[in-house]
Order: sequence, then C-alpha cells, then structure tokens
Amino acid sequence: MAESQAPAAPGAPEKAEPNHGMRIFLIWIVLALVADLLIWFLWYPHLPPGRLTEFILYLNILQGPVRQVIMIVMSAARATTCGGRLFEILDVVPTVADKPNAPMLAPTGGVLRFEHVDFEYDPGAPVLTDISFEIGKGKTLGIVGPPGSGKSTIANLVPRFYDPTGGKITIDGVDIRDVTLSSLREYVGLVQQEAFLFDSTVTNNVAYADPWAEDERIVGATKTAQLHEYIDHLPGGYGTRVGERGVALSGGQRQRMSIARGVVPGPGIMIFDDSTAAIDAVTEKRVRDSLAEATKAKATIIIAHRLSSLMHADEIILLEEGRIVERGTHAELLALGGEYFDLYSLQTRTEQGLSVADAKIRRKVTEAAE
Amino acid sequence: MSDFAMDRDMGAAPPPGPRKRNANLGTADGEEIFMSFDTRIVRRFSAFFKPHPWSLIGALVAAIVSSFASVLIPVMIGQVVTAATSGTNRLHRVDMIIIGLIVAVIVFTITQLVSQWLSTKLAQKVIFDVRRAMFEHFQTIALSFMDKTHVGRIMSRLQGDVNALQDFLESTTSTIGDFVMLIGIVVYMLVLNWKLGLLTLMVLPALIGIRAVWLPYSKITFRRARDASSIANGALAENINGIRTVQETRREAMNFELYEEKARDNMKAQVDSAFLAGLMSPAVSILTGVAMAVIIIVGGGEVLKGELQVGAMVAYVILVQRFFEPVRMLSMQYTALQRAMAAGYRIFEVLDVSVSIKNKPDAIALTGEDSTIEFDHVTFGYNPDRPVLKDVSLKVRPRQVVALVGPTGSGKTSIISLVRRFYEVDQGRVLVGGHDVRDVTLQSLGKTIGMVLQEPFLFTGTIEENIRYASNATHEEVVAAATAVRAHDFIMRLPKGYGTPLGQRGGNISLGQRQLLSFARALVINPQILILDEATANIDSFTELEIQRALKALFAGRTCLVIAHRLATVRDADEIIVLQQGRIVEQGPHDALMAKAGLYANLYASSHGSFDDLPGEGEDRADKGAFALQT
Repeated sequence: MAESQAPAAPGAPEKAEPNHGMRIFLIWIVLALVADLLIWFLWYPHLPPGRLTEFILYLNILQGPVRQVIMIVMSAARATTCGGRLFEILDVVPTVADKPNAPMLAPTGGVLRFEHVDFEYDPGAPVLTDISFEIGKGKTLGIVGPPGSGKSTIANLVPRFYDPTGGKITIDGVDIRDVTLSSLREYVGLVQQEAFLFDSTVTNNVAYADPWAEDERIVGATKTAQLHEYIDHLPGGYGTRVGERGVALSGGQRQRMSIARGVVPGPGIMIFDDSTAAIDAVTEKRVRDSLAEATKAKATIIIAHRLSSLMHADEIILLEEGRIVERGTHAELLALGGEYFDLYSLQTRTEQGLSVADAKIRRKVTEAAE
Repeated sequence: MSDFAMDRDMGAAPPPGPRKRNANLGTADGEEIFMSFDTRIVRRFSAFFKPHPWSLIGALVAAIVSSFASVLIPVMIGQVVTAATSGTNRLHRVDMIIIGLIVAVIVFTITQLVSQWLSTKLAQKVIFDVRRAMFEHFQTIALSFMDKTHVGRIMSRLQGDVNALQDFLESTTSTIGDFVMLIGIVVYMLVLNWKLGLLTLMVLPALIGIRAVWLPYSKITFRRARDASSIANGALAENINGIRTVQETRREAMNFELYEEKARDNMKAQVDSAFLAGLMSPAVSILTGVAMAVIIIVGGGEVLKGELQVGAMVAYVILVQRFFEPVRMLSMQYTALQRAMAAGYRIFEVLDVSVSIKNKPDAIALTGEDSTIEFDHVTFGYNPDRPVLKDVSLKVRPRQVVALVGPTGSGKTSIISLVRRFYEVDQGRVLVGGHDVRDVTLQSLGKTIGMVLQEPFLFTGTIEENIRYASNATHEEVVAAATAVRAHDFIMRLPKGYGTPLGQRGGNISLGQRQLLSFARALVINPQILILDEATANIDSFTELEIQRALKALFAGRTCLVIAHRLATVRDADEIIVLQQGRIVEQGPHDALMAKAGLYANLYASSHGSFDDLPGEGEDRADKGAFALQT
C-alpha cells in the first residue's frame, strides 16, 4: 500500500521485477541483433566495416525506446482500468440535489409535517410505510421501536439524505425537495448516535457546523451537553486533539460531543437519533433537562429505545417494521395496554419484587444524590 | 537508459506494507528505520538460511554465471565485428562466433531465470519461517508484553518489517550478480587495453560520486512527496468516512478548500520529486557520452596503430553503457540493506521476549471435578509498585454464582485475569480446584474455565464456526448451545442461517446478537467454571431481555464468577463481593448487604444497569397492572 502512495512511475511498484523483465527483453534484443547480423552478413558480404559497427551501435541505442514502449503499453493498460473506475465515480449523478432555481427555506412557523411518507432503500423492500405526523415549535415527538423498525430512516429523511419514495415531507407547507439543500440543512439539526470525530481539536469538532462560532457559544453548547467539565479537566483543554490521532473518548462522551455539535448552529428543528444510548441515566437526565431549555423554541424529534428518554414528549409514535402501530402521549399509550405498555413494563420489570426496604433505601439515596 | 523513476521508491522511509495513519498505532515513531550493518543480526539470520543451502548456492551460482554471460555477449559482438572486417576467412570465423554468441545468450537467459526463481523461492521460504516463528511466539508471550505494546507496533513488526526483509532478500542475489558483472567489465576493459580501459573507467568514480551527492537530497524530497500524498489521501478518507456529518453540517465547500490546499501541496511535492528523479538521467547520459567519445578517439587511435581490434572498440562502447545499471542497483540495495537490518533488529527483539508464563515441568492437568476458586491473601499489580489488589482472600464454592461489584478501578478485572492465569500474582496464591494455578497446565486451565468478555471478539467465518471456535463441537451441539441462549431464532432468520458469514469483528449483526453468540461459544465448551465480564454497552431493551434469559441458561450448574453491571444479575447471585480500591469491603447475599445500608446499598440504589431512573416523583404513573413499587 505504501508503494501506491509513492510517485507512480511506470512499473515502479515492484522494484526488482521490471528490471528482470527488461533484462529478459534485452535478451530478445540481443537475439534480434544476432539474427540481423546473420542476415546482413549472408546477404551483404560487401558491407563496409564502418557500416556494420554503425548498425550494431544503432541497435544498441534502440533498446532504450523499445523498453519505454513496453512500459507505456503496460501502464496504459493499468491507466485504462484505473481511469475507468475513476470515471465511474465521477459519472455518478447525485440523486438528491437542488432543483434548478430552488429558493432558500424561509420558515415561518417551523412546523414539520410528514404526509403519508413511504420509503425503501431497495425497490421491493419497504422500510417505511405511510408515516404521517406533525410537530411544531416547542413541541417534542418521540419515536420508539425495535431495531430495524425504521426510526433512523425517518431521521435521515428530514435533512434529505434520501428522498421519500412516496408521500412528502414539508416544513410550513413547503415540500423540502423544493428548497435548497444548504438552507434546509441549516435549519435541521441531526444529532447522530455516534459522533464522527475529525482529526482536530475539541473546539473544531464541536464548532464543526459553524467554524466561526464564538467561544461563548461553543462553551454553552458543551455545557448543555454536560461535557464542559470533562473538557476543562483535559490537559489540553479545548485545544486537545480528538479523533483518530487524539484522545480516545468513551461512547458516552462521544455522544455528548455529538449533541454539543448539534446545538451550536442553533437549528429550528432538532432530531436526536438515539443519541443518549451510551450515556448513563443520571447524566442523561441532566443532559435532557439542559437540552429542554436549549430547545424550548424548536421542534424536537427524539428517537430512542429507552422510554425514559422520551416519555415527556408531546406525542410518541411506536414503529414496527416501518409502520406506526401506536401513537399518543405516554399516558394514552400505557392505557392502550399494547406494545408500548409491554415495552414499558419490560424496562421497569426488574423492579418487580423490589422489597419495601430496598425501595426506601433507593429513594433515600436518589434523593441525597439530587 | 534505465528507468530513473524507480529511484523514487528509494525515498521509502517506513517499511512497505499496509500503513495505518494513526500516530498512536501504525508508524514506527521514533524507531530506527535504517541501521548500519550488524554482524549479530546477520548471524541470527543465517540460522534461517541453514535449512535451505542448495537454493542459496544455486541462486548465487546462477547469478554469477549469468553475469559472466552478460559481459560475454558484447565482447562476442565485438568479435563478430572484428571478424567481419578483416581477413579472408571471415565468413567461417563469423559463423563460429555467432554460434558462440547464441550459446551465450541462451546461457544468459536460462541462468537469469534460474537465479531469479531460486532466489525468490529462497526468500519466500525464509520469510515463511520468520513469519511462523513470530506468530507462534506472539501466541505464547505473556499478556504483560502485549499490554505495554501498541497493537500497531505489533502489526508493524509482523507485516512491515517482514516485508522489508522480503524485499531485501529477493533482490540480493541479483545484486550480487550485478556486482560480479561490474567487476567482469572492469577486468575485461583493463586486460584488453589498459590505456583505454583506464581512461574509460574514470567515468565510474564520477558516476558513483554524482549518485552519492544526489542521494541525500533525493531521499528528503521523496519522503516529502510521500508524506504530502499521505496527508492528502488521509484528508480525503476522513471526509468520505464522515460524509454524513459533513453533509449535515454543510461543510462541503469549506472542506473542499481545505483539501485543495493539501492536494496542491502534494502536487508541488510530487513535481519537485519528479524533477530530482529526472536530474540523474542527463547527468549519466553526459558522462556516458564523454566516455564513448574517449573510446572512439583514443580507441580509434589504437585501432589505427594496430594495437586494438575494431570489434573490441565496439565492445567497449557497448559495455560502457552497462556501467550505470549495477551502480544504481548496488546503491538501492544498500538502502534496502539498512532497512532490512533495522527490520531484523526489531523482529529479533520480539522473538527474544521470553515467555514468562508457561507450564511448570511437572504441571498436572486439572480434571474439573472440583470447581472451587480460591484467592489466598493475593496481592497483585500490573506494575509491582502499584498494587491493584491488596491482600484479597475469597472463595467461590462449586456451582455458586458470585458477583463482583465495585467502582471502576477497584480490581474486578484483575481478579478474573488472575484466575485464568493471564498474569502472575505478586504475593499469595490463586487456587482452582484446590490446586495453585501455577501447578496446573495452562491447557487444562483453559479447558476448565470458560470466559465471556465484554467485547465479544468474533472472527471472519460463519456463525457456526464462530460458535464452535476451538472446540470440536458437532453441528447439533452448536445448535443446542445457540438454542439454550436463545440465539437460534435470530440465526435462522438470517439468509444463510448458521452458515452466514460474519464480517470482520462480526460487523453485520447487532451488538446484542454478538453477545448472544459469545455466550453460545462459552456454552459449547461446557466448562465447569465460567467467568463473565458483563458488557456495559447499552443494548436495546428488546435484546436485553433475551440476554438476561440467556445468562440464566449459561449459569445453570456451573461455578460462576461474574463482574456484574446488571442489577438483575447481582441480585440473583448467591454471593456478592464488593471491592473498593483493591480490597474486599463487603461480602454476602443481596438481602444481607442491603440491610447493612453500606457501600453496596448505595451502589445498588444509584446504578442503573439495563434500565434507568423510574418515573415517580409526581409524574404520571402506570395505571395498568400493579407494580410493586410502593412507598
């Protein structure tokens, strides 16, 4: 692999090979030389000696260009293959692109609506079927469901990483396919489960969406994500390198970085895709509380499998195999006594059989901690 | 007329082979890349050559013969010219010489091929043995070595250094051949006409001198080109890997600018390097041209005087053009030699690491009848000055489930490492089945103790192969184990069932499913003792329940030592051992410890295992069903 990074010279990768190959070729040249000599000799017995010498020396010189021609032929073959692959990539037409003359998104009320949205990655394998919901400023939507039910897909559709195959998605009535991608993505903040950390400082990673953000905003974001204290205690502070070559962060810390990054630009719609799964519950509660403050005026979607993360939502939808099977507030869903209820009891089931004494102690300690 | 671009590979500083771009891992930071010739290393290597004496001799002989042949050819061409231009019997004499020439050519071809083939074969055999020795050794080296060394360094040894060695070995015989050829040319030129020979040969030191001056500059420039290329590629790779984030944060334009800068730097570095590489060619051509002029002028004079044959002059002209190739090959080989020395040094460094944990000469095999685990006043530290366990004594009775709990760093992982004898205690003893672990064979210890670790390491291979792993389980046994841990259903739902190939590290199935597979693997071995380090990673509740049930199946009828995180696991254990800062502070079953209202009670109340803070405190509560949380 290191060889491919070296300035590519024809035949360079295998150091010894071309030399041997060329030597073999040399032999053929020599043979040709000999053959020619024979011919010359038998047919031109009166060849002046000088001419013969001349001829031999010319043949000697000929070796060089012949070798070059061979190398060019070899590298031409390689170039064609590689070039072919390059053009394959360059020729890919992006399926999700701005419509010509698309206007910028001008949100008025910040209401996100999914209208009978269908989606499939591959034709014939529907991932989402007939998804409809609506959320407005200051409201929260919770999405829950078993793995593979399509939760993350919904999250990916809002910033238009993919386009729905059926139905439409609108913001304040405007189809998101009709506005510029850049304005859409400025308005929609997606906090993913795993923050991709770039090979740079903490500051640069957190401010990735807005590299010119003032320090106060950056610190504000990390404080919201409950990460500020940890960063402050690092020997390099905010200048510490993270990412491939840097300090290794735990899963929970990476998720909080993701949250901080999502909060910095101040989008109007925020989507949290299972972004607190690796954070312990105590810290998660703090994150949630401070996020609630920060997202007061935004429309928020929380995708999680831990019910405590989204029990407070204004509406919760339960997905199963791409369809909404139950929806409502937490209380309404419990009252239904269906899937949601089962999930809830599953998550609190271990508390069954908790003795009175245990519960008392538990309470005491939890209260003391707060 | 050689390809000077090949010289650019000489700038190769790190040994060739897959390189990780992570400074913490891959590159040999601070390690010697080039080392001077060290006879000790050569001597150790000769041990690897000893089993293949004939290949070595054959390759060398063939190389030398081919060198002679390759010098002979121009000489004979010269003879042809001479014969053709003088005498009356010329046709007859020419025929003889031409036959001789053809023979020389054939000999050259054959010996070339033979030498190349033999030397490659030899190099491969030696490398094979080196690789095998390294791999074998790594398997047995104590974990303490592995702890201190980055994975990347180890990979660098196994791949990069061995590759550097291979490159060197493969081209060594041909280099020796080149050297012989050079000597042959020099000898011929001097012997035939020492005056002309000497004049012509003056070109040689000039060539060597120019190359020596050019080399240091070129190394720097080539290395810079290599680094620039790395940086640009790295930036591209990072952008592609994080493309979701890049698109989400609308960084496409800015990242493009940043990348363009790096690409431009790279272009400049490559151009510089090409220039430098190209510099040699005209220099050599000029020198060669000068030499040819000398030959013709002085040689011509000699011919006219009758002191030299015309053909010999022709031979000189052809031979002088063959000078540079061997000089170049030799200097390239010298660099390769230095790299190979450094690589050899590091390889032997690894092979010399002593295996500290091995079987005692009279070690007995554990039968597993008695599966008691006992710690007798054990003190232990990864670093002997900093003990992680202090005077720890505990006992796990047969078929008991004992849970280890405690804050991070309290010594839980050390305990299970010691039971399995991954490390040796500093003081005290660890007993399994009544025997000190140092008195039993490592193999029997491994068979008796099954381990399930936090991060299940799954290999490329099918699901069945991963479950079966080192045991000789039949397909039915594998299925039975999978069923017992409730993995059978999801396996059957996969396209190829048990034959589904797993990606690297088991990437194509979820974390929870990987856990279940590692349970099945432990079950298939059917060990008497089970050590479990519960995973803390958050798994979705749907799989969580399956795992809890699977654990029950796993524990049944075995002696279990568990580092527990799930409250359910802890609560159901026969005995709980609470560790803090390397000491046991509390011990006993759940109810007893809760009654104490001490550290355990605190931990229990505030930790959240697979669920989290309950609703309560005035929020909406479930109406359906009665939950026993009464206060």
